[in-house]
Amino acid sequence: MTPPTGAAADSIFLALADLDPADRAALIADRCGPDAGLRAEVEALLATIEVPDAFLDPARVPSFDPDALDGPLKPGARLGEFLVLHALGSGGMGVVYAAQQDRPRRTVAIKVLRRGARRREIMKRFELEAELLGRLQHPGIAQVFAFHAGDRTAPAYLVMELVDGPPITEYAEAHGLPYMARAALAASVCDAIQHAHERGIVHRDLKPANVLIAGNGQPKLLDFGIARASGIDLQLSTIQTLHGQLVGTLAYMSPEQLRASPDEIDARSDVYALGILMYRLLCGRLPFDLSGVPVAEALRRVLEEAPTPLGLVDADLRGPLEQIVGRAMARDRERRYQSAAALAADLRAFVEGRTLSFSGDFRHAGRRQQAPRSSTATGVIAAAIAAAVLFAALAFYEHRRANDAAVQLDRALHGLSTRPP
Amino acid sequence: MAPDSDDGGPGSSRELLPEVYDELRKLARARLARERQEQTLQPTALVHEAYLRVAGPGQRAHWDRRGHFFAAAALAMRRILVERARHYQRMKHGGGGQRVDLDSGIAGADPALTDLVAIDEALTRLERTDARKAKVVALRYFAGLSVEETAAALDISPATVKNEWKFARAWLYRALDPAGRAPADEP
Repeated sequence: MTPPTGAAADSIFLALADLDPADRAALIADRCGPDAGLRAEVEALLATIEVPDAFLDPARVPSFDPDALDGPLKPGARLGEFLVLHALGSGGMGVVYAAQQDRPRRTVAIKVLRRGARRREIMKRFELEAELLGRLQHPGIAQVFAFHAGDRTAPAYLVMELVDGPPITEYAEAHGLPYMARAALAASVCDAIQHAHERGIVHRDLKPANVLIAGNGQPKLLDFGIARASGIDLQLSTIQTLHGQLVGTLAYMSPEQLRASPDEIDARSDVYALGILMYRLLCGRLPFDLSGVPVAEALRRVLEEAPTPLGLVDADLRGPLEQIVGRAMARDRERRYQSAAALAADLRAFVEGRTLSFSGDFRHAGRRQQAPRSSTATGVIAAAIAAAVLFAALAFYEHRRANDAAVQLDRALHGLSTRPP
Repeated sequence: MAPDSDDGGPGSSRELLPEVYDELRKLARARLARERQEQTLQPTALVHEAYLRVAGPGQRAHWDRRGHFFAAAALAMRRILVERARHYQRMKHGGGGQRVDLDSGIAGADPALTDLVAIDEALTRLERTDARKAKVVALRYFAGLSVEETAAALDISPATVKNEWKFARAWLYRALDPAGRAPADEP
């Protein structure tokens, strides 16, 4: 990390700053003497004195959330009846800690919500959701124990079951699971989702990072309903999505979510995300290549292009699995499985060697999806692009950091296909 | 973190630091209480607002104190930001189990954040070689002062500030990236 030039040239260079340009030559001559190499070094430094305007631009000092003033919670800190053990991770919504609860004595995960814009609104929604989420009791769902609205002395936080395990995709890779086992695992994820759907709760943010596999091999879903409480899936037009969740989630978002149509988001949106999740679980990549593309182009691909059929990625996946996954991630929600339970049933039929619930040929459906786009499809794409543009404009207006954000989004999207999101 | 090159005497920026820090904290809380449509706080805006509150209308002419205030504010802001950047770096490499979008949440949220650690380290080296240039950079970058404000705070001419700033930026730019391209400040 030291400058590439010698210390002598460096110090002469810095000393030149306080001189009139006319006097600089004299100082260089005086300090360098007969040393032509040193002189050349100093002159090279002067020649490259212009650096990009953005460098050290005070307007580009990273913004920070006010919690940074307090710093992260240190191990041993107390939050109500909880003793912070250590930090587990950090995300768009806040920092997650492992903590010890006094009574009942147990280890829990605490998600400390970031302060910031629309805090009151988000708190209100969280309070409403927390009670609902508290009622979700299923071995496949990380339980929400409590929600504490923040006050002057403490931040708002969500207390959840602590899940110790890797994301489903990493787990499957690490254990070298065969397709059958992966399909069976996906079926038990469906069971948990079905449980929530029956209680009127849609996850909305399913992706590998939210599906962990606990020590006993049981899938555990995290953050059920959090997407709705925080509104993250309906904010294509806000900076928050750009800076946070959208980036990691885009590949798993259903067309209706990408179009930000709240009325159309239902259980079938989760079925779509399950389809993408299974696709990735089975062949290790995402159906749409979003690497290094701008957000408008990423949206266009998801909304318009036909995904590479699973069987083309891996010939072993031809047949029932390809059909099941293709049906789950159909662009038109009417063509998807209408419930997670129906999807689970077909996955189990496949595992047990029974016939599927439908006799449709996925490849036929795939070809239909490639048919010339209808005016509706074009309108949808136009709307999505308009949303993206609006979002970029708002981002620029709100943060004056749209460039950073766009560059980052591109990088993040690039990362989608190269590492597990 | 770099030692404050201030002398530490009465009214110095080091002595002011806790007070300034506290002021920034209170101000951030007040902002939140007002529920403004802000996701985050812009550091330089916060520093300026904090100064207006501390100084009050009658004290604007006290350039000495003003200089110390901004030096302290720049130092406080630098500590806050660098501490946070370090924390996020640790989180990105450590953590496990119930992680949440480490990539999108941290690296994604603030591309420039990770560079802060590098900027801080380079600035510390500049402090050793040329303390005044380092002060100019701290005031301009971390406290968001204009050339004129920096000149007033350091009691030097604006022309000198401009020169110091120009040379210091070039020096830091190279220090951060010998290949000639700073990691995240590419426009």
